Amino acid sequence: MKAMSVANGVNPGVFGPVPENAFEHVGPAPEEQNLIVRPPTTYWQDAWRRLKKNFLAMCGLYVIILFIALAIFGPMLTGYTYFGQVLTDANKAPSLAHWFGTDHLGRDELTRVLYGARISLSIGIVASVINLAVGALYGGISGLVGGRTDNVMMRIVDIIYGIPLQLVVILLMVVMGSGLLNIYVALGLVYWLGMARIVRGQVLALKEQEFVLAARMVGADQRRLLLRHLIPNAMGPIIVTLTLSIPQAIFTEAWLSFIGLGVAAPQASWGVLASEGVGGLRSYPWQTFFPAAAISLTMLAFNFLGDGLRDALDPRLRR
Amino acid sequence: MARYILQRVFAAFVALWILTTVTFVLMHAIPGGPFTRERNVPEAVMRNIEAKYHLDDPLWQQYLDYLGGVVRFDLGPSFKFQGQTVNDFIRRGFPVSAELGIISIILSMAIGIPVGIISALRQNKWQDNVTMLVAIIGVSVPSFIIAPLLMYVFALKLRWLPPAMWGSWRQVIMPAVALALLPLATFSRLMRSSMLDVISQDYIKTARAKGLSELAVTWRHAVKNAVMPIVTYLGPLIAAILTGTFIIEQIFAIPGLGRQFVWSVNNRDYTTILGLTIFYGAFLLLMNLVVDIIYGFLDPRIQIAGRKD
Repeated sequence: MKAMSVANGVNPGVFGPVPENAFEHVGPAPEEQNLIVRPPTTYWQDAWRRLKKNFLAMCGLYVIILFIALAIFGPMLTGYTYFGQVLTDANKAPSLAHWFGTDHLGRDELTRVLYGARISLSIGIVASVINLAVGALYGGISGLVGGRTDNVMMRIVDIIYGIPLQLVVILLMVVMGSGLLNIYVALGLVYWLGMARIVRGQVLALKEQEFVLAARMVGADQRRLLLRHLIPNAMGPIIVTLTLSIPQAIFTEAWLSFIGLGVAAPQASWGVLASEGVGGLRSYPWQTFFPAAAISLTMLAFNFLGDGLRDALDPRLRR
Repeated sequence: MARYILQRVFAAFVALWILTTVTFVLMHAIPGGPFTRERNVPEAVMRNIEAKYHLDDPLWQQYLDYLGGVVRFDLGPSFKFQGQTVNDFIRRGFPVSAELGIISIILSMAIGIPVGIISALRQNKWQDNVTMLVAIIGVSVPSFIIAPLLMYVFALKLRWLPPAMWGSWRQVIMPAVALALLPLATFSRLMRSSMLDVISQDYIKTARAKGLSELAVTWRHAVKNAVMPIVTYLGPLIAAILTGTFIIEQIFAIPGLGRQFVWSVNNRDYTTILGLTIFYGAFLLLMNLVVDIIYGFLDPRIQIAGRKD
């Protein structure tokens, strides 16, 4: 009590001046207080830590890794080819020789489903990467340049948004003919709008921040600013959109196959296999069941992973 | 408000014009005419056919004629079905598809929205966890996968329902359920998150504080405000149902417009593909317009934003 009023300088006259050694430091040493005990975590390490806690998202991730591994190595291990026909073995039920049975031309269904994984997964990934490239560039330029350019570019997006895109995909496929390459192109060129909007929003928010000003100050041009500073910093939402657009592309391809615009025979995606199977549903249900299960599981895995990534990359959104 | 509606109508017309042009250009970008694949026809006959369908006109003339036709809602003849026009197909097939679509939409809203509300009120309890797990499965499994499964179980194994065709109410059940599943799951997910947004607002606390019953708070204050964002999903919903009918009608052998469209795609009936694409496009744009306008009336904030423009 006494020492306090002295220290505050309330009434120094009565108690006299405070000696230098009147107080003693009893807490942890200053250098100890500033010690960094935990290793510093970056944004990505933090996100990964949060993702690991999400059981369903990790299940999704493991399923995707498993399916990719099966798609790469599976077709080599079954002992059959996806096109080899043995007509005497047509429409056989699942057995030890043919785990998933055979189709109407006696081709091994397991091999075809595994080979279909290559096609379906590659469509999902390639189409999404094209979306990313087109959308991120378009949205990035729109947001960075801003002003009238931004206005015009976004009006264009608004108008294209009104056009039913699945019809455009059908048209493109009718014109270009069915085939794997054409599916990549059609899906990639049509579905970039969502990505463009998200990247633009991110760029608009980021470009007012100090690090952009700093980069400008040391002489970065627009191109470098966009590719080196803005897009890398918008990577979180981009990855989430990318992950969620992969199942969408796989879905659209399967849907196209049911319309008859899938990949060309003897190649077959999961969609082609399932739609071929539906005709013989009454007698050979396994021909529909296995590819259908593969499509559903893959979409489920990507959706779980995408939801988990969104929560992990932006914890504010979590409910 | 009038300005907002005008803007929307204008944007829809521009979109329709772009769609018509793109469709027209793409259809004429196909190498060879629509009749080149037929057997060898004498030159004179070929020229007659081309004259009949105005294929010998210069391209810009064909384009203007076609635009004029679209404006008058005349989508031209079918190349593959002699004596049939695209309008005939629409008149015959669209009512069937519309019936199926409307039943699916009602089904998905009547179940999806209440499920979402209950899920939000029981947040993180088992009811919530179970419904959200089911909902994400519903979002992930496409309707064309559900349809054969339903058919196999309920028509082929249990024999409760007829496997295909159209006419009686029993034949509507499976296709409608298959189509409704995705929007149902989406509705419940959207409704849940929208409800969670609303019930954390201060005015809900106020409503409770002034002594309203839990039912009145939920119904009059929470649900009413939470339903609004759902309206924006109606546009994509109608698009999803419509593109879903392409395959569902095929699987269940329903004589709707979707099956007709797929048939024309498979048989490369170019004029029908062109005409139906534009019809579907115009229909979806109109639906989006209606949804936008409804939303404008429901949400007063949009009017303010419109005035500021």
